[in-house]
Amino acid sequence: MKVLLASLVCASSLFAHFQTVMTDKSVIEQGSSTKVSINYEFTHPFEQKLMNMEKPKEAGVFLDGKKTSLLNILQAVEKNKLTTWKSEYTIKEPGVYQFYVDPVPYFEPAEEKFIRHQTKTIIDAFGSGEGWDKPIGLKAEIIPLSRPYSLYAGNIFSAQVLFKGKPVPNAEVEVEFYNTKGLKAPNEMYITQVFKADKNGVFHVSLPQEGWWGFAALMDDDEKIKKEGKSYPVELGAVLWLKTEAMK
Amino acid sequence: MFRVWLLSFLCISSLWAHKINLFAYDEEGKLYVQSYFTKSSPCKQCVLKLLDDNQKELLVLKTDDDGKASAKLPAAEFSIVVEAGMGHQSQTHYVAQSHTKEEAKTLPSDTPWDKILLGLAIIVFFFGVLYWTKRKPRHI
Repeated sequence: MKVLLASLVCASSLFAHFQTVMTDKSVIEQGSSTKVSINYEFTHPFEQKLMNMEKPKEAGVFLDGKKTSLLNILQAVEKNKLTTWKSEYTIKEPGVYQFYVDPVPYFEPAEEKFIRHQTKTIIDAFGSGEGWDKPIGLKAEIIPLSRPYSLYAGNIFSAQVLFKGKPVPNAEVEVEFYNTKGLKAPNEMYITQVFKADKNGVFHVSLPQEGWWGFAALMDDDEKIKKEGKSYPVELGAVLWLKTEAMK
Repeated sequence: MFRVWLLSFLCISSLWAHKINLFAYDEEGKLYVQSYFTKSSPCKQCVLKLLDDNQKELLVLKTDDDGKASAKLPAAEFSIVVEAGMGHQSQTHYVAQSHTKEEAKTLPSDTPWDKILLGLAIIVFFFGVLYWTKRKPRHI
């Protein structure tokens, strides 16, 4: 029984949970629609296995040092009896817009911990070009060192992991492809790629496919959450999503 | 001499690295254009040309120190060209969302003539009644 339980725990840890924030466009040019659709999911991105997502604690957009909440306009979207969320935002001026979400921590019984992935994605409107490397002030956050909205498939992406605004030495970063193409991994170890950051929290990852890529730097939160009288640790994730395009 | 050459080279190379961007929108028949290299680096005092399909100049404007310029819409569709010197320019085709100068002429006026006429009629009626009640009776 213990062996079975241990196997289940090991198996479930192979399938990484990712909070997502994805937009229908990463770059807005003059003449194109300025309406941005934003989707929020809690999912296993490579396997495309959704999980239920509660209405998040916070969701919004960050521009020029100012956050604007989108929480009141979030709409639930039911998929196979599971809830995901969506919103819309109309761009009115040039700028780099960071869409973010801070979900309600999810309790993972198999690991006896809560999971809280503070997640963001970054888009550019009208070639503004500035602000994609600015923290928005999340407790755990990935700061791109490569411009995140104009990468080709095959490019190397570099970024820095922050916790409370400070670099996280040797942070462990999980990387998954949002696999809408039905790609098959050679074996389960390939589903979630794992990278280590250096002593400054900087990591580098090559992105071999066109499409959405998620990066989750996982760390132990300095706060615990109580559930039914017991305190549980919190896995705090700094998560970033970006989309690569094929060079044609 | 080498320093001058190096400085010139750096200046030129920074121009090459910077793409000129254009952001345009219109409201109530007025066109607003913003031109910049990056958001905090406006294209100052740059020439903006509005061209029709035959590349005929409809309007020539100059951006201010914030890289902004505005004018009444000269047509429903046109090209916007911004020139930043050194042969650097950016161009975009623009389709107006609000009314052009010509279209605006055919639109109903915003002036509320009906209300003005009604107001005048009420004033005339009021003073007419006043005159009628106050006039001296004629003695035959």
